[in-house]
Formats: sequence, C-alpha cells, structure tokens
Amino acid sequence: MMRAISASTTIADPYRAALHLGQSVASISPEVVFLFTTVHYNDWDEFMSGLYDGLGTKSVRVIGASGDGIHELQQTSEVGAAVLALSSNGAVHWRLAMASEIAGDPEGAVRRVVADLAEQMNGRTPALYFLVSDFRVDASRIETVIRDEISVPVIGGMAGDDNNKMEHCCVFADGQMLQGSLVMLAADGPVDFRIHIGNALTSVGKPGHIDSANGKVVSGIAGMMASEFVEQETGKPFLRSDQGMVTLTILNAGLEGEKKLRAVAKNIETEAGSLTLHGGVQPGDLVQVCVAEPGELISEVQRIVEQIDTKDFVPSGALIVSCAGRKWLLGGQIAFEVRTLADRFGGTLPIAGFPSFGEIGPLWHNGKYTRNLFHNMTYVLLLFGTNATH
Amino acid sequence: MPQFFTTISPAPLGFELVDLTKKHLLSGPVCVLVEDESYLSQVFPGYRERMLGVVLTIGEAYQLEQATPYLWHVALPQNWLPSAASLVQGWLAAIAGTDKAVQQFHAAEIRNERLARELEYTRRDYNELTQRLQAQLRELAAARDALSALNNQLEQRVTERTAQLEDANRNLSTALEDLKRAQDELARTAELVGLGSLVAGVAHELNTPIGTSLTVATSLAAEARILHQQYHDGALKRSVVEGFLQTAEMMSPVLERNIRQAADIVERLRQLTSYQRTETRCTFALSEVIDRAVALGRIQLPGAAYQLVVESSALINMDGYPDAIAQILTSLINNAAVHGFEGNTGGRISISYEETHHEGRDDVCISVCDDGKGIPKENLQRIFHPFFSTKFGQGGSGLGLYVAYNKAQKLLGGKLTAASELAHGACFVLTIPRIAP
Repeated sequence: MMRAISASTTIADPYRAALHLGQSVASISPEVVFLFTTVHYNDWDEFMSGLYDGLGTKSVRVIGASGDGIHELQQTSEVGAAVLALSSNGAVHWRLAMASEIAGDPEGAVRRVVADLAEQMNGRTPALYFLVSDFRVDASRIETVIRDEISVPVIGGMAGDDNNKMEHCCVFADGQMLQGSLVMLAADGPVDFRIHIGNALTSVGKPGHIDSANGKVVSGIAGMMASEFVEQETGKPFLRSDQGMVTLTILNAGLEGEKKLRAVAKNIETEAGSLTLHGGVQPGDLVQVCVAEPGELISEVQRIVEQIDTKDFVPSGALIVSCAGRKWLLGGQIAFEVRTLADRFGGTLPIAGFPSFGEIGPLWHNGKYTRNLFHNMTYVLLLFGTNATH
Repeated sequence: MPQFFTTISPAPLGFELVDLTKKHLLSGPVCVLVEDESYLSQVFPGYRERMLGVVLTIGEAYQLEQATPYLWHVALPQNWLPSAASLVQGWLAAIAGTDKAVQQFHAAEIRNERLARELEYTRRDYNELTQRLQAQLRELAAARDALSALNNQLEQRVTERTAQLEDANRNLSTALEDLKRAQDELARTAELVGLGSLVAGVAHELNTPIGTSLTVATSLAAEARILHQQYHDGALKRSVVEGFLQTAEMMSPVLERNIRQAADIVERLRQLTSYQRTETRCTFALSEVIDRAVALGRIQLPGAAYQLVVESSALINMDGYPDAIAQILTSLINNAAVHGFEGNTGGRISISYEETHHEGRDDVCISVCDDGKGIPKENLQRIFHPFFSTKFGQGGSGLGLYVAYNKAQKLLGGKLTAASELAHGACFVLTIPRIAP
C-alpha cells in the first residue's frame, strides 16, 4: 500500500518554505520526496536544510526540478515549491544516482547513472525510473539511451526557469541543488503505477524534411530556412510570444504508436532563420508544424482523467510533468490540468508537479507502453497507487 | 497552529520547554520566551530578519518593540507569564495574516515581473509585426506601382494592338471585298465559261439541224439552178422536172424537221433567259401545282408499268411562281422517265413534300425519287451543267436539268440537289422558301 501526501508553499524565505513542506509531509514518514520549485529561492542550502529539518530525518530520498511554476493539489502557482511524498512502508527501496556536467556527453551520463543504480540494486531491474535533467542539455540525446537501452518506463522532465527566460534551472538530488546535471530515481521494489500521456495536437500545413540541424538548432526545412517553413505553414511569423507553443511533430518518430513533439524556442543568438527547439532533431526527419488550441489541450486532459479506471487501479498520489508551453497557451486556466485531476478524486488525491521544458515517458499503445520517448508540449501523468488485483 | 517555545524552566502555561534551534525560530509564527533576547542571536544570528512571531523576555514593566513587520519583542513582568500564551495567541494570528499577505505580495511581484516581461515580449512582437507589416505594405505599394505601370503598359499595348487589329480588320475587309470581287469575277468567269459552254452546246446542237438544213437547201438550190439553166436553154426535160420535184418532195420534210429542231432549241434558250421576266407571282396551293405536274408527267411515262405517285397530302400555301415549280417537277419527271427507266420494263416515281423550318425560314422540301438504274457517280456531278446529256441525238437537249437548277436557285431562291446510287435509283430534292424572295 503506497501512501502519499502533497504540500505546497509560497513562502519566499527558502528555509521557512522548505521547513513548511517537510513538516507538512513528515506525518507519513516518507521514503521519497518529489520536490518541485520555482527558481526564485536565493539560498538552496538553506532550502535543503529547511526541508530535512521539516522532515526530521536525512534518510529521505529527494529528487526534483525547478519549473516555470509549481503544481500541487491546493494550488498552481507562479512562485513557490511543492512536494509529493511517498511511503511504501519499506516495501520499495528508492535508489538515486546523478551525473554532473553532462552537456557534452548526455548519453554517457545516462549510462553511468543507470549503471550506478544497477549496482545499488545488485542488478535488479526497477519497476520504473524517474528522471530529471537540465533544459540546456539536448534531451533527445538522453532519449536515445532511455529509449533503446532501458526496458522499464522512465518518466520525468527537463527543469526550467521562470517564464522561458532560459537562463538557469535546478535539479535536486537528496540534499543538493545541481545545474547541468541529470538525476535518476529507481523504484526498487513493487510499485503499482499508471502512466497517461497527452500529446495529441493537430498538425497544420504540409510536412517537410529537415535539411540541416545540429542538435537542438534546426536551420533548414523543406528547402527553406526553418523560420520561413514555420511561417509558411502557420501563416504568420514566429514571434517571441510563440515560444514553446508552436511545435514540430516528428512524423517518422520511430516504431508504431510512437509520436514526438518538439516545441520551437526562437533563440535570439541563433543565426537568422534558424530555430532552437526544446530537444534535438536529425536531418532527414519528417516534421509537420502543430499549433495547439487551448480547447484541444483541455479536452485531452479531461479525456485522460475520465479514462482512469479506479476499479482496476486505485491511485494514492500523482505526479504531473506538463510542458510549460501548455501552461502559457492555457493562459488564465493554468490550474486546469491539476484541478481536473483533483476534482476526479474529490480533492483528496495528493498531487504535485511542475511546468517543464521537456517531458519524458512512454506512450500507451495497443495495451502496452511504447519505448521511452522525449516529448514537448506534452502532459505526463504518473499515478502511484494499488492495483485491484493486490 | 501557533507554537510556543521557551528555555525557561518550568515552562509557563502553554509553552513547550525546548533547546532552541533555528528550526524552532523559523517554524512560522512562533512565540519564544527567553531570559535574554541576545540568546536568540546565539541560536540563529539572522533571526531578527527572518523570524515570524513574538519574542518574550521578562522585564520590570510592559515594553513593546517591533523588530520587523512580523517580529515583535515584548518584555513582560514575571507575574504576567501565566497568561502570556493566551495574550500572544491573537498576536501570532495577526502576524500569520501579515505573513500571508507578504507571501501574496511577493507572488504578485513575481507575477507582475512576469507580466511586465511578457508585455515586453508582446511589445517587441508587436513592433516586429508592425515592421513586417510596414515592409509588406511597402512591398505591396511597390507591387501596386509596378502593377499600375504594367497596366499602363498593357493598356498601351492593348491600344497599339487594337490599332493593329483595326488595321488588320481593314485589311481583311479590303481583302474580303477583293475576295468578293474575285468571287464575282470568278462567277462571271464561270458564267462566261458556262456561256461559252452554252454557246458551244448551242452551236453544237444547232449545227446538226442547220447543217443538215444547209446541205438540203444547198442541194435543192443546186438542183434548182440546174433546172433553171435547162429551162433557160430550152432543154428542160420532163424527167428532170420530175426528178427535181421528187428530190424537193424528199428533201422538204428533212429540211422542215431540222429547222423545227433548231427552232425548238432556240425556244428553250429563249425560255432559259426570259423566265424571270415571264413568270407570274401569286399565292397558290402546292398540292395543285404538283397535281398539274403529275398529270403532265404521266403522259411522258413510257407505259402502264410505270407509276407516278404523290406520297404527301399536306396543305401548304405558298407565295411565289407555281409555273416554275411545275416546270421543274415536269423536267425531273421527264428526266426519270427518259434516263432512269432506260432498259427497264417498269418503274416508280414518287413525289413527296413537306414544310421545314431552317434558320428561321419556312422552307418547302419537294422530293422526286425514282427506283430506276441510278446515275453514275461521274455523271452526278455534271447533270446540272448546260448541254450535258447522255441522249444527244436521241431527243435530249442537255438543258432540262440546267434550266430546272437555275430556276430553283435564281427565281425561287432555293436549291436543287441530286443523290443517286447505281441500280438504286435517283432522288432529286427541291428546297425553296415557302415565300419566294
């Protein structure tokens, strides 16, 4: 039986905020805390100190990331911190490993972290992984490893900053705040969970092959500059306020049932006509522009939440990793993705999460999960709970 | 839930005796009772800036100090301590409210900063869009000017082209007129050719009877000169006179027949050239004209085995030249009787007629068809030519169909056509306006 509790705060003082969070969830003697914050705290050592003081023990695993705001059962906020704490009463061992300065070799970093975890688990395969990393890392390179070399679900996302300033972000590993790093948590033991992902956006215009790309920077599509291609397909120039909301869907994403989105983030340092994406693409990829509509996003989340079958699975806690671009697009309805889920369970389901700069998770296709994929403009819902068969 | 901590033992009512730590001081709105406030600096040096709540110390008299908007220092007389917790309770609630307001203010500041940034992005986007729109407007204006220039060029070219076309039209009109003139010339030439052919035919036709007549007359004249000489010489013999009379008696019918034949040819020529002057225009019923032609035609048929039938009975009133129509029909019937049934032991000529409408004009279409031997293809193209006949010397003049053709075209304003297939008869169709021009 997995127990969960969530809490959030808008206290500006880092120690006091984290102390409040720790104290709020300490009642279930958590084994792991998923921590999500905004980037406004000025002293992360103080923050971590407050969290552990609030928890009353240093033995709790902490993993998390900063985002463009926080999601929690009680609030969705532009500033503050939120936690989801889990306790399996010792049934699950939560293993954690990290790698720093990974930008140059993300694939190697993932492999090192997974090897570290495997060693901690004496070679056992975990039920799932939770992964967070820095948005400045090309997550498509992380994807190549988690997609092709890890057979269990990997869920997570890329840390972000405040309102797409693209300046800095944080990932959390136990008592540390890290930058340019990757942190993975392995659930070593019986964990019942469900993963729901929403990434159905309507494509517009005609597909085009990527002519030239270097990592996250794409310069040519369909014989023209990338920005010209987007402008041609959307009927308007790509503007600063479109960042994160105009998306390229990769049509030749991989195997059947696999679909990936890459949000466009125009970088003022990028040479004219090129576009920086939230994740890399390859020359030859066939892409099509998607322009999301708020109503489309809302309908999809409603559909996902309605499809949760509580006869089969009783959730006890939820993690939401949802693209910051969705939040920007939803505008005044930024709490919608949390409130819809909360309302489905009478306002009692502990929920925490963050608006991310890239999402990770397998899709559900033909009765099973696909390979682990890196997405943009996507809503990832991870439910911890208990299968009805237990 | 407000918390009350103290380092003083025994703890007053409502207070928890603790070893004070940073955690206690920063737990939220708290009330801390200590002997000396300076002790708090030893526990956590930054407490005055970050702590929320009330610090209680023991003093001689009631004293109050506000360190920050949410931290107060209160000195209480010893005897007030039992009621201190209840005294501070509401105070802490007020500080919590202040803290909440400060949090909201902080969040609002962040939101405002975000909004300001988003507004800045939006303003930049607006400026960029405006610049692009202005650039597009400039491009549109340039395109409009170019289009205008192009239009002017086009108009100029259209004007020039129109003038060229007008010239071409004039040239065409001139050419058309030239062509018409040439056509007229050709027609005249053709008429001359026809006339030549006519003259040749007439000459040929007249040559035989006149030549024969001339021979006979010359012979008679020679005989007469011999008779006259013998009479003058007084050597005239009875046998010579009788011979002359016998010759004259024999030659006279020949001479008469040939001269009559020549006269007949002349009469036909006269008819050909004078019908426009002699035909009388009137209104009439077509069936009566056809009946008249049929009655005349039946006489021309070689025997009872040959039939001439009228297959139509419609009442068609016409305005025109009934005699011309009758003459054409008689000619066609005669042509069938003479040429179509040659060598046959029987045959049938059928006449049908109907009213038609063509290009807004009421026409009458009269067909004369036979089931005779038909007309060879090479002859079919020539049957309306003057003096074309396969019966020269056998009573054919070669003018019957020619006259009929000309009457149909020039007098009646219609046309006469023929179709035939060997061994399957021939069909002549006379198409004329119901009201003649």
